[in-house]
Amino acid sequence: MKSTVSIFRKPSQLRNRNVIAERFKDFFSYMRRNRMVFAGFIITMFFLIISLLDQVVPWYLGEGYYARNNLSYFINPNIAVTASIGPTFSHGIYYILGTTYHGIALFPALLDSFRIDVASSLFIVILGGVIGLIIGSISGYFGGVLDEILMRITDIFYSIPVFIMILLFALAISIDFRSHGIYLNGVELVSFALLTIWWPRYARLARSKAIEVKNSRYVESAKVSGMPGLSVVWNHVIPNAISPVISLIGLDFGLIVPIFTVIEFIGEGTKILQISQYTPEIGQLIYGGLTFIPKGIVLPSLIPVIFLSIFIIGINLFAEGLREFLNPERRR
Amino acid sequence: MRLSYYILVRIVSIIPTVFVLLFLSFVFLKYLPGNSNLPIYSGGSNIFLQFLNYFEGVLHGNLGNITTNVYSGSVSQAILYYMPETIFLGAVSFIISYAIALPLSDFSAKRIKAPGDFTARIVSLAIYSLPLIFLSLLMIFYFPIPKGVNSFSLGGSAGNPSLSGSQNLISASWISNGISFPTHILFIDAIIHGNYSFALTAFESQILPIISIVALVTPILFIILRSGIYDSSSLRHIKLFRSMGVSARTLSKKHIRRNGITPSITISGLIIAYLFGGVLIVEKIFNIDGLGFLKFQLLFTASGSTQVYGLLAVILIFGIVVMVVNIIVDVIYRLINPEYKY
Repeated sequence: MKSTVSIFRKPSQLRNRNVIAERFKDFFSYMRRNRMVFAGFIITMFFLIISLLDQVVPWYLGEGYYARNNLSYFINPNIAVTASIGPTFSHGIYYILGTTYHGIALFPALLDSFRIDVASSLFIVILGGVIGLIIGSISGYFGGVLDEILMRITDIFYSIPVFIMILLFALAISIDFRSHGIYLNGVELVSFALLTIWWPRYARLARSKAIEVKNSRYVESAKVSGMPGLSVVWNHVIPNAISPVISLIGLDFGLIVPIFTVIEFIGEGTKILQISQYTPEIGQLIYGGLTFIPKGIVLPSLIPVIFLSIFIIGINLFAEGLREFLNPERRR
Repeated sequence: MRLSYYILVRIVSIIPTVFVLLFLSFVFLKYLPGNSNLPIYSGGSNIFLQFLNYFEGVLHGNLGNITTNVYSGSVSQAILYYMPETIFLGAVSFIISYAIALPLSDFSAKRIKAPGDFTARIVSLAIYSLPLIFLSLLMIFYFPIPKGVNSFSLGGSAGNPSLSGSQNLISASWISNGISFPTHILFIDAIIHGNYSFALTAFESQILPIISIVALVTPILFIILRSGIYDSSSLRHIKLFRSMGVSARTLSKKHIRRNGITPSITISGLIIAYLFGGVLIVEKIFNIDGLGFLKFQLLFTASGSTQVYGLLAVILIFGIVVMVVNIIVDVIYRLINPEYKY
């Protein structure tokens, strides 16, 4: 039965072959047939590369007044808000997207600040996805009292509203961290806070798929043939539960950066949640651009939003392909 | 396990879950700066006794008193006042989103990997990736307002004095302190009291918040429904029916869609729980007197015992909403799929 083919094959079955290389080869031949997935892959890789390029070749944003020096306003933001310049070619390459608050040139700022967003999104979504997948699959497969307990724990974590959790982390838990010698900046604190309340959604999704799979014939035959419970979960339940989780992971990339923007927006007057006053970050750039909207200038906020949009569209196209590729029911 | 017995067990299990949830929040809130000397933390020698003291009050329906800029009094009353508006907004937005997403994903799943499908996906993802705060602010300043509509772009409830054309109505006998009676939903209350022009205004002011939430929720539902419907169209019994000559319409309506919506039920539960907890940013920007607005007040303008009592109440109500929605989701799963056992 084709459904019994698992993505995690036993090493004994494939002793003489390089499993990972084979999977990658399969994936690339799949992408050759699906142009949209390939486009998504290219966009995602492009964004990942530009977010890492800054670390590898720090000079690519250029030196001199128009580039790096402008970014130093992030570090010293106590400068009167200056008017925005629209996209222009007359000031040199760094000004082709115009400027935003404090006269920061948008183009190098976007390239420079994207790393933090990618890092925190990946941290929250991927780690949350793994935790949720494991807990949800185990809970759905074993059922009974274990399911009740694990799902009630999941409910508890899902029941804490986002901004209350962030507040608790920023004001209460960070004190505990500090007493143990762990110093976290605003973005890291928010990432930890979001991770603690983010995994339950994947757990619930994985659980509902696990319960569906549990009653299928291939799982029953695996059970009858004496396979231990955890290895049924690993070989049959997780490969099936991973595909809805991946499509939700793709979508959730679009929710993280707006939370940073909202924190900037609501933290502004109160100074309770100052997450990234000294850190360049896309959410902050969007927020900075929003201050121009009442004056009738849309571009400073629209350009970071579009930049983020392209990344989210790309990663969703890629995630959709990955989901389909990893779905055991779909494979030949 | 029989269904009624299962539901009973789940409902009873809400109480211990809420106990743990509130205890964790209670402990963490104590460590907010300046909170450890509040009266709520003086009920016993250690924190567990203090919590039992508070929880006894919760079981009696006494959640404490708060004083914010917009409301003073008991928290349970505040929740009763603010919750209906949030539920109204969330329910209307969710129904509209589902009504858009279901036919769209049917359309898309039939043309999988064809231009129509690509366009639908790219457009919905592009809308989805606009941050809610950006979309709301942009609409407030740039939404084309039709002629004759006066308060279209402003949003907000009776408590918001900037709701133009309704200044005289704020002092109506059924509105006090910005809260309308008896249902606390401005639109419905205006209809109950026969004031149709004000009902129209209240309806118009809800359009932009609803659009913002629909723009966030529809793409999620669309992506999940589309992949569900697409996956279910390759199930074996569907292939069999197709080869037997069942018409495409019947196949889609009776067989493919029924299997295809199952993954979206879990997601719908998560979304509904989130919406009923109050979308903080939309309610803040459009001045809607809902739970999100109360949350905002508690988080950023209140302090001390108001903040602790208020946040504990908000966490409690959100926890109950999450658990009830999850029970409903599990029961629906069981009803639509008889093989679904626990």
